[in-house]
Amino acid sequence: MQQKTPETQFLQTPQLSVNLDVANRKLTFPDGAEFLMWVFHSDTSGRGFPGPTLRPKERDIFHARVEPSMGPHTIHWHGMEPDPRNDGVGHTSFEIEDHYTYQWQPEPGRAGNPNYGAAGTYFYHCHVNTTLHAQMGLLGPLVIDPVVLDGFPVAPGNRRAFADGPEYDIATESLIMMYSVDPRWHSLHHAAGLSGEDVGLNRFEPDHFYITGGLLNSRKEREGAVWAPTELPVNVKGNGKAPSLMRLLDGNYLPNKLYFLHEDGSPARIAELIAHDGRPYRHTTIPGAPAIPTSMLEDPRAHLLTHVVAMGAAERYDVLLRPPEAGTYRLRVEWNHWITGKTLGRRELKLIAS
Amino acid sequence: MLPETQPLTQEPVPGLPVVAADGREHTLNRASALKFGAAAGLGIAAAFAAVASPAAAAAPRRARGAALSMATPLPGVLDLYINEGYTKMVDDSLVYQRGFGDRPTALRDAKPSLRITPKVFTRDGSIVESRTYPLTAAPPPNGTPLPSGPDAANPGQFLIRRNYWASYFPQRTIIAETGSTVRIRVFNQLAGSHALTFAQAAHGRADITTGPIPPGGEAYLEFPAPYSGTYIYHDPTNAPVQRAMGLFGSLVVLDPQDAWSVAPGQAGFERQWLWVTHAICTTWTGIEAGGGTVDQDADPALPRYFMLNDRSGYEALGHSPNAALNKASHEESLVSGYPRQIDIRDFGEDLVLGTIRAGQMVRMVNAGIANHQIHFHGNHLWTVRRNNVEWPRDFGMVDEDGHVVLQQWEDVVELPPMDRKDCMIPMKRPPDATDQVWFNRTEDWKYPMHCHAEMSQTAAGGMYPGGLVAHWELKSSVNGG
Repeated sequence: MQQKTPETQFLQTPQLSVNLDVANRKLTFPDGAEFLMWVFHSDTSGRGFPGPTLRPKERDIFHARVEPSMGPHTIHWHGMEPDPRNDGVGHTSFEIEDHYTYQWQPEPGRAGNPNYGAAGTYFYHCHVNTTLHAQMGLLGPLVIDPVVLDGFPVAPGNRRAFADGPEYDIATESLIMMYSVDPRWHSLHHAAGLSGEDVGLNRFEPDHFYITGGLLNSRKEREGAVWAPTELPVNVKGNGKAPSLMRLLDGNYLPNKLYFLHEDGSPARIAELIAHDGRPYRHTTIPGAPAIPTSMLEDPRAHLLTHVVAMGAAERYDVLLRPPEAGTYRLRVEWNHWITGKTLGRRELKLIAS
Repeated sequence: MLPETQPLTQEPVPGLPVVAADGREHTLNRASALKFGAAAGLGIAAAFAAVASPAAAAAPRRARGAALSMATPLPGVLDLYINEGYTKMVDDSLVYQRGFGDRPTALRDAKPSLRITPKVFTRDGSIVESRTYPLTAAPPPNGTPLPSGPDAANPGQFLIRRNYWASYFPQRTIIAETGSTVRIRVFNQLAGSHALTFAQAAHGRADITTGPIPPGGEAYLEFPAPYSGTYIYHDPTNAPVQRAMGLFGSLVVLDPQDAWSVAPGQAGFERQWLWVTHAICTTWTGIEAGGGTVDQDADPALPRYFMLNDRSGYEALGHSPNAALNKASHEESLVSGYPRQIDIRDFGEDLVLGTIRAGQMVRMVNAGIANHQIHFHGNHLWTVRRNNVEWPRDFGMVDEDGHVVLQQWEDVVELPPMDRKDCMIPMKRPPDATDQVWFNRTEDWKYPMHCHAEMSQTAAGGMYPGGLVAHWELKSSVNGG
């Protein structure tokens, strides 16, 4: 159902508010390939990919005013769970023809409680003809920062991954988003397939594979930019800083496999998985007892350390990187076929631990 | 226990060939016939006659489209017919499919029997046809369990009835109570060889299979109900091709004494849902319909339809012009209930007699061929089991494939082919709605569920959202309650 100017019910004063519009633009990717992309942009971000990083805090009222200038779109805040009107799905609420202000309030965390708290990694994407629109580039990173709880102070230069979670070093916090492009799709029109015509949207055959993202704190959003890292700095244990946090986001439609490797290609068990889909891993054995995050337990066996992470479309992992020694590590990403499992693409990123 | 094989000490009855669980072909003997008779309290002669009569149905290879007759049923034995036919897709096109049906039907049958109405193997040795389980529990109206009353301590929320509502199951479901024996005869009505396998249903997670059943042939399987959980039955011939042709279904094993838990003592629930995903590749169905054999390298799968419980798109969403189909979608697939306060540390908590602080259990099954990414809006789900192995609540690990083995919240549940996951939807207040919006709620809140491997959201190459979709509803006491 399309509505011109649906009303935001019980509108409150926001602590963070953003205007988002949609544009189409040719963008040049790190391998030199150029694609027509559809992107979200804010008043200040310029038209780049992925969309601008949004970073509300728990308990704060968030507003996003969306005025799509090119046909109806919506924004779904993937993993955030507001009421249906603010969930951004056409067939359970409305598609926006003119403008709408989304409003939601990330739930604050509580110490040791596995039932509360939104802090973590999310993303937003258009939910109109989603199969096409998300591949065309209508998505962007969304990070929810935690409230500060008594008993969980935060040192200067640090932040906590979630309210009762571990501290990390803000300067080396990164977002890594897997993305791939099927060039055929990038010549389709806004409503392709919606009238029942066969436009082959069941056939996703990417031949360009990208590790996008980079350091969150030093991202420069600007016109025409594709945000992608060449290498990433990572804190080594004992360098006097909190560990580096890597936020993994699967922004494509194929299963991915990520390997953390030493420079010689041998497995490096340096990735501690601390949260998934915006929710911390916790020990929840005893009813009524505090559910301590795995990353905060003293017992080293509780920590979910690995060198390999499997993830598929739209999943997120929050990873504390714990390289024991300075030097170069490698993050290898594989894209696998969603039916045969055959590896279709492989890309690597250098992690420089110091 | 290993699946039972038929003893061969007695003189064989001519006729009925039997393929035992070890894959060797046997012939049904008098001892087995006696056992069937005893199980069902029949007279020996009657039982023997019942077994012997299908001897005539040690059928000649039949021509396609020939009229068929049903075998004489055996008490306590479920008959499955491997049939073929055409089924209507969500875009109204007819697609060739195969399936395990309730009765023999011909290729051109207007209503081919390609999936069974759910059946329950009970502990007392009988088979009951029922879309709901437990058999004596009340079916929830339109699929929605009603609460026992408002939760005074939590405005806008409700207390949930403990061990009260039955659950609806989709077609293709076989339920076996723990302690029961699964007894199945399979009749291959088709021109090619097929098999029936219960994946990982034997001790040690081995498969239980008939082995190849020749055209016109039949086979018998008998095995004790495995450990509580969800299993896939399918035809592994040229895997996954025959499964993708439609030759699959689910076996759900439940403890009749603890029927509101996924396994005795494990996560309790208000009601449960069985979600079976499946993808149809019309290149493959075309080849097989023409009598060919799919070569997976030469003809790679390109699914064109994506189903949840055999429905796609607006039919899966209950928005079709067909009221009966919509009702079935609501009863079997479209998760719904009243909001409640729960603590995932304790699903069995009961503060008021006869109530439980628990959510609803979604048993996700991928009988198809594509990797699905099951995404819920509105609530995260708490995953408790994968492939009938309960995940720990502490001291988890990352397995060698890079998956975390620990009970956890997820808003996207990975579901690779042949995988089964048990996930609790808490049916809690959507956490990021403002207080004012929540406390002024006057209508049911409806949220989508879809697969995020977005190719699956299409039908016939477009038609978004025409594929593997559902929605779930948080009911309101004010309107629609």
